[in-house]
Amino acid sequence: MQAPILVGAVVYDPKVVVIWDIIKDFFRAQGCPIDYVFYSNYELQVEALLAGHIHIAWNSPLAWLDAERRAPCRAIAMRDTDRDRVSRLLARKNSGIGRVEDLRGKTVATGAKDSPQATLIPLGLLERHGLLPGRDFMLRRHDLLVGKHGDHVGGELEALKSLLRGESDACAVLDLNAERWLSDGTADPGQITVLATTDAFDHCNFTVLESFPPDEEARWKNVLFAMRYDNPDHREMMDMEGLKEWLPGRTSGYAALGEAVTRQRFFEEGKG
Amino acid sequence: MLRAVSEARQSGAPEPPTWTARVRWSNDRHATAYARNHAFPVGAPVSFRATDAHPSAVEYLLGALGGDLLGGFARAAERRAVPLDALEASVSGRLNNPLIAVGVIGETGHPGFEEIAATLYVSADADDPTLQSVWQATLAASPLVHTLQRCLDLHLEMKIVS
Repeated sequence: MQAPILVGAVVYDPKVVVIWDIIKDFFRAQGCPIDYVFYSNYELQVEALLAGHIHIAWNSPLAWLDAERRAPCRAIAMRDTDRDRVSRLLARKNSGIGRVEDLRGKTVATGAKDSPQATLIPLGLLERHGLLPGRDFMLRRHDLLVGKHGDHVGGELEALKSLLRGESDACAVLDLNAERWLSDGTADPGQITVLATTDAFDHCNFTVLESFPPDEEARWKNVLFAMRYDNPDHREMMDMEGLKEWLPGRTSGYAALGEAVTRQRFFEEGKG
Repeated sequence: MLRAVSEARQSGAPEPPTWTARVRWSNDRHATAYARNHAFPVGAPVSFRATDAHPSAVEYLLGALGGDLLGGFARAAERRAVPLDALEASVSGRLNNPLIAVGVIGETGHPGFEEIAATLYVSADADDPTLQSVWQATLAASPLVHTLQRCLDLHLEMKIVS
């Protein structure tokens, strides 16, 4: 019996279990057995990757940076939706805040402290405009489920609600989440304006250590890339995971987050 | 218990009855339980999917409690000559941490039920005190109620539907 390739994933929601059951079944049917190892947070998963307990880690962008700064790694695959994301700084239309500089002396709501899209990258944008939390504006952070790097979007949603309740003057959300919450009734698009948009960045990727055998990687990717959105069995998983196509990994989209964590000394100061 | 059985044997009294089930694993990810002349499939211990080929083990437990309550209520009503129009139960439960059950490393807690709530809805041609009496008799005679209430928060209520 062929030894399975071990893939790590962080369970930010019980649906992750369903997603990986479907992926596992497909890989087994294709003659490339995998097994999943679930973690409660990305720190544990990165440790497991570096220790060789798993072969592949389904990493958040922050977990990718953490792994890559500690050991030579490759990003071998990602979702189509992981590429070229942006985050929006939102404000209320009637608030008199029309540009980033207007946030001086105001309150900005963000997601969890380790959320790339709802905290780290938006704070990097504000810093580029000369605005530092605590000095130039008050930061209202929503530290929900820290360790899951904002995947569950709970803190991000609370940041938006804080804006809607008038407790904050701006909030940071991922573009896809802003689109969803402005169209599903969570927020009234007539009341919300986009104050600023971050540089484009990439989100999750499948990470392996540099020592992972290239032939194993090729065999695994061949199966992954064979998943099709028009296959109903795959579509259930792809809808839950938020993609229409698996793509090759790339590392060119992590500059904005890299700059943000460097400026904020995220890794040096006990991860926030 | 062992001493009681031993004493019962020595005294010649019949042994307490024991209920058994034989459960066999199938390669297509479910088990089949055989009990007396019955067979029923059991899926995963716990499932997060919207639909599945088979009920999970935790769902069997909830269903068993509901069945126990309804069967007990129907019998108690019959003894009091209370005609029933309709009888239904809603049962829900919350695990302490279901992610433990799927092996998530770093999670804390345990995979067991923390609480179970059941509501029995009854429509019958009887007054409230009579139906309350039937309900109390049901609870007093329920094997699963007496088992579960010793190990988790069990919330049981009866609602009369007119």
